[in-house]
Amino acid sequence: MLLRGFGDILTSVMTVNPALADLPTASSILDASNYTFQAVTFGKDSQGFTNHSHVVSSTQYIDGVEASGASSYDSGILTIINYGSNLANGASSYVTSAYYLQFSSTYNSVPNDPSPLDDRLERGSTISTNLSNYQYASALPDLGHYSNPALDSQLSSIWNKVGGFPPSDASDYYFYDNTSSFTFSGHISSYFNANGLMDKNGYLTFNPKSVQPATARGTEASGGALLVSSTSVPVSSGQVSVSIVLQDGDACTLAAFGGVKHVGIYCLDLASLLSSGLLPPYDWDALNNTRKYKLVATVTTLDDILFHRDFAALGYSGFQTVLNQNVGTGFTYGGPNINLTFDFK
Amino acid sequence: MIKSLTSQLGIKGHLTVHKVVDGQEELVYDEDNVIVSGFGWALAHLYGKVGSETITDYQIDRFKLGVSGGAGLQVSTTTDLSGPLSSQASYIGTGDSSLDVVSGYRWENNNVVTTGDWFAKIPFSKVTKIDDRTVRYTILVDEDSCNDLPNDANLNEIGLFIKNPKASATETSVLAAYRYFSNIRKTSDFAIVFRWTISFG
Repeated sequence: MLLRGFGDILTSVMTVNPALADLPTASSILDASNYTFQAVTFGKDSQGFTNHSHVVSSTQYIDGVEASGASSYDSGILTIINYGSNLANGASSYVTSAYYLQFSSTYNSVPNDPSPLDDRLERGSTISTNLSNYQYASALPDLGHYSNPALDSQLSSIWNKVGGFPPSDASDYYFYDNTSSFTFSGHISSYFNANGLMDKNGYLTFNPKSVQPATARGTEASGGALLVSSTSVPVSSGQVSVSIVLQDGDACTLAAFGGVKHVGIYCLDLASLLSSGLLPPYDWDALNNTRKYKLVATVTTLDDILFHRDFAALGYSGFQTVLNQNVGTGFTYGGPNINLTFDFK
Repeated sequence: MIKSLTSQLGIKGHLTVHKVVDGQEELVYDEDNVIVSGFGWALAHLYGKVGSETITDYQIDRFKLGVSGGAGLQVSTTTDLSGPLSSQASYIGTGDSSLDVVSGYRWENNNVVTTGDWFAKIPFSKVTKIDDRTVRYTILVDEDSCNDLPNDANLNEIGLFIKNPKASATETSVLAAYRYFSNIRKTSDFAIVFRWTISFG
């Protein structure tokens, strides 16, 4: 759904003053890239930010493998309790529907309905109240979508409770069954963070390249969200697709924290940047991102688009093997592809 | 099914036409108009990053007037006026017209039409941001413009064009909006003001 924010952008396109071309200090405002898609975020239902692996146990627990629940005292280990572990083909997958069933009396897992007036993905708070006693609780962002705490100096130590995305190094995760008995463990690494593609507020940058063939989704993934054209979605007919590959630890962690039900597309909020005294070009810097964004399009689904199960016939664990794949290893594109097609005509 | 940009955002155009005699305006036309597919075609080139790298090339900065308009052309697939004024003289005559008329090429269904088109420019000072999602184009056809057309033809169609979305060496424009209106026999006794408002949601 295209939002009111996109109307703001189109109005800016039509009314930016051509005379700026004669001002050396301001001519870069006329660069078309200031008005194109620049970021993607991922979101989910508001209550999901206090459920799934966001849950924090009051029981202190250190580095063992026997768990009575998730804990904030577990040395950065992502704890996953699989309430669907007794389901056929779900033993090694994080089955979100099983979590919904387990906590249906208290947990409303429905994301907010999409509105063209939205300026964030989820209108309700996305702060985890489970972390209200954390010493840097005031640093918890209420963004309306997943943040990327691994890059936040105050939140990186509890990335495994804030959720969204893991650090770029190989962090541990422990997987438990529905009786809280240890099942298996593994390592997860963020592809986005390893490639400097996402800032601390969860904004995934776009690959600066122009539209690529659909087959480039894997090979160009290290540049961020990719503009894609194909014979079925040609630019010449007014259509452009945005392709995002969720893979490796990013797909795993998002799934463990309750999955993805919103995807947002952003342009630069040029008016806000200029009023802050920031002139283009706005170079991408994941660690010190000065860009400000305006939400221009969203997709909302009732179901988690990272829903997965095991593929027992080939010995694949849904969580360990299917999601925890990188581009070019095992699967053609590694992890799920998200393709959003815009018809401008 | 993917909904189109115009239906998703509710993009609408509205045109009013005024005769101006001795400084007094008379409203002679007041209707909605059609945003045509060329607008989305240009945006796809912007958002696919395969068009011009300068944002002003995606702006509506010119228009055409014509003499063979019809209601049947008010569809999204329209790519040009039915009977556009075909010479610079048709626009500015021999008097002191205030119109800035330029020649150029035109995009039509992703192909360039190089037979040569004549466009009148819309001064940027006449492009007004009404609010965050509304733009108004004010087009003045003064007393010295578009008079004495061949065969005593009436003006009855107008189109807005996007400047040069693919940054072609010869400016190559694309039709963004079209409107047929009731016949006006233009003479030097009056001017015409077109106020064209486009709302982006």
